[in-house]
Amino acid sequence: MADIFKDLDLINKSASFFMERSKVIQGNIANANTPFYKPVDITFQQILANQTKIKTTNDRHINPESKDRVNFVKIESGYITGYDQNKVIVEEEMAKLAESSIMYKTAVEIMKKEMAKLKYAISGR
Amino acid sequence: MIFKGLEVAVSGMQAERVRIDLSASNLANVNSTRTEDGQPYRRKVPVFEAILDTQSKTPVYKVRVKEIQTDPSDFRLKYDPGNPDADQNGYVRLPNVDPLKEMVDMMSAIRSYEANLTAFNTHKDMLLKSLEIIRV
Amino acid sequence: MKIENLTDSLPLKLDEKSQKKVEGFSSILENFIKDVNEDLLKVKEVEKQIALGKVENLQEAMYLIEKADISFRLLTEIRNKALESYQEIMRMQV
Repeated sequence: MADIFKDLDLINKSASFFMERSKVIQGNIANANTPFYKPVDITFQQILANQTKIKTTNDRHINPESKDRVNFVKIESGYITGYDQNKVIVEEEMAKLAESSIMYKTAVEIMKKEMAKLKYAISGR
Repeated sequence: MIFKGLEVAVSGMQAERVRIDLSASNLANVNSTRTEDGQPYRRKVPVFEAILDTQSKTPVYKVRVKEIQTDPSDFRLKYDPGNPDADQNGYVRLPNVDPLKEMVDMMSAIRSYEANLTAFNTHKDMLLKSLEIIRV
Repeated sequence: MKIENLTDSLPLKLDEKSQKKVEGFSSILENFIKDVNEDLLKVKEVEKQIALGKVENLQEAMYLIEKADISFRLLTEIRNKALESYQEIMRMQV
């Protein structure tokens, strides 16, 4: 039964990832003037691993509360732009945010399309 | 919980607003030679602090103004014997505020505020987009 | 192509096979209904969580709602079709 949603599940996870990533990047932008702050990021593998782990423990659980936290990936390539040891490059963060947003919206559009297809197949009109 | 992302952007906006307010206060008091304690006005600077919010699965960094410090640098001296606040040598102590620096700082704060606002709107759009999934 | 022996399609054997198939289908349908029902109950829970402001991932919740909706549509459509064919059989003149 769950087979017709297999592809959608993956797209849903991808959308989740971009949503979470945008939150993390927003944190970087908010801390663009905090002394000694280093920008952070997350990877898709972390979200995927986190979610699949939840799935195997309890399949029927809605909105699972996992204690496994997503770990940050520190970005080390940044350069210090001021005297305050802050490594955030706002332009880069804004670009990443736009990227996440576009990818998220794309994922949602794909989900909508796939679901419309399923509905059409079911009702036949 | 859903609005964690918006909270992050708002925390950034609040912090930048404090910075703008303090810059405005510094600029307004560029010539205040007397405050409650009898000393000239001292420049005020906010100290930002990153806070790790671990309420949701993905931890996020928020920002807050940890404290507002006063700049301990020396006052400016101006020769003005007619001023009632002048010392016996005729020098008036003026606040350690540099209007140029304050203007630059304020512009930087406004830009940061706008960046946070853009982030807020982007995230809001994303949240609204997810509502479209169940639109018939 | 392999040409099959005629004895393979003897009426007796066919009957047995089809009976087994009917059982299989009904259990599949039963499981399906159970699945869909669970999905719908889950959605109810999700909706409650949204009302309480406890949902962490909005789009995940929306996805669950829509998924259950599609499953439910599929179930209703199957039910309608089954009922239709049953009525068709009932109307058949013997």
